[in-house]
Amino acid sequence: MRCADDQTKNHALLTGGEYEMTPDRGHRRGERMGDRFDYRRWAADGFHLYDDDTEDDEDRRDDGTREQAQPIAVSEAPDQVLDVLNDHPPGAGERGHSEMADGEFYEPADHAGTDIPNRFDISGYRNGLFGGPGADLFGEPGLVAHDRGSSAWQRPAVPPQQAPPDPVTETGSLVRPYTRTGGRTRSDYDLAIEALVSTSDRGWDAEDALLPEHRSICEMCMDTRSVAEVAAHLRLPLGVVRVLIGDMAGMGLVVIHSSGMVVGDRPSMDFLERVLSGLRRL
Amino acid sequence: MAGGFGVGKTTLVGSVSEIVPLTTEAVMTDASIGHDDLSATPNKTTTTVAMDFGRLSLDSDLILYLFGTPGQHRFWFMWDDLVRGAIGAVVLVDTRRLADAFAAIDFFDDRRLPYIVAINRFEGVLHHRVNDVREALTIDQSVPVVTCDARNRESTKQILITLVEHAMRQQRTTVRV
Repeated sequence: MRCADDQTKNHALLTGGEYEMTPDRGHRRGERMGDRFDYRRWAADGFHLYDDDTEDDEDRRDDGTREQAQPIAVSEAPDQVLDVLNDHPPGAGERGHSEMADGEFYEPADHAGTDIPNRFDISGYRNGLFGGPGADLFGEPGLVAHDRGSSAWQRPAVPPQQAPPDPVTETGSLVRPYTRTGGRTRSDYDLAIEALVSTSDRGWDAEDALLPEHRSICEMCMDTRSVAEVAAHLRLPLGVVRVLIGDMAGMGLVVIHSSGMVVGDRPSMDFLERVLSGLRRL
Repeated sequence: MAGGFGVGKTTLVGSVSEIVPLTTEAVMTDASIGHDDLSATPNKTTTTVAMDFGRLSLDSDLILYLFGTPGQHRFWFMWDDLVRGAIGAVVLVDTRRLADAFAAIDFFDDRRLPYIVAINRFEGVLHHRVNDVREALTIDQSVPVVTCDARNRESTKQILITLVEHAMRQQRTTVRV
């Protein structure tokens, strides 16, 4: 039990912290999971975690007398494996493999306790959680955090049109779209996709718009645009934008322009004539 | 703007729109190969999986929106939204795949939405005569069938004028009846 050398003891204290309780397991874990983790040895063992430890436990249970000899065997055996791996004859193919393994997988011993084999890079996690359609509504500088004092005097430029995002690299939002509407899918207003929306006088005063989505729509609709355009620019589903704009119309933040030229569900003759003359003028 | 997959709807909208058409296009994946027949348009690599649309300001207070319908049948639920309040529809056809237009024509006939048929001349080639197309599509004699070049702004403008004139004619007839 006490045959572990000082170096091993330090490893166990650094990594497992269980040296005093179960010295041999601490020793093993220090080598497996800690700063002396060796990918090649792990691979040679068949990528198993703790299975040797389990065997050790069973061995101890089966035969208490083997306990005395075991730590020696444990400290010897991995070195033998290492020797087998390191002392390859320098054949060309084998050498290349060995270099690759050294460069990519073997972690030098100065990352004490941090290089567990299955650690993963979580830097993309935030992107996945806050990315995707409408991601710019949340905390993205520029769109929401305009200088409110100046917006009443000079119209802030409409956000430049962005090319459709590459669907391969786009990360889906983890927020369900209708979360932004409190789960409502219907609006009080019957909004056509081509209905024109413009920001009202009240909407220009951004203090009244509490939700970031409302502020975005207020800023976007300072130039009159259609429901479809708002949805496309905000990258939100059409239904969500309908509910949001319906809410905002109810709050007096935006004005919805009705064409007033529709008879039944078809445009009126006057309207068609205006469209026709407009087209001919093009 | 309706029509089969890969017939040029997005091109048609883009040729006349004053804004870069707002589109949502996804690179076609292996999963959609069963749905989308690319045999006649082997160079097309993407397909519109949401609505794309363009804008055309006709007057200070009059804006025309051109919506391209989703190309694949599984997105047809969006069509009812598009038809409501619309002036009319353009069914864009590729004469190599006339059958792709049947569903759209049936839909507009059913909704009594004025529509015209525009035959897209791919590389200037007209594979069928216009009257043959009319017969093959079994559409009413009153429905205009025109040829077009979806990439050409003037051609697209003429299509829109033809459509509006047709919609006015149809409305007059309806009022008289």
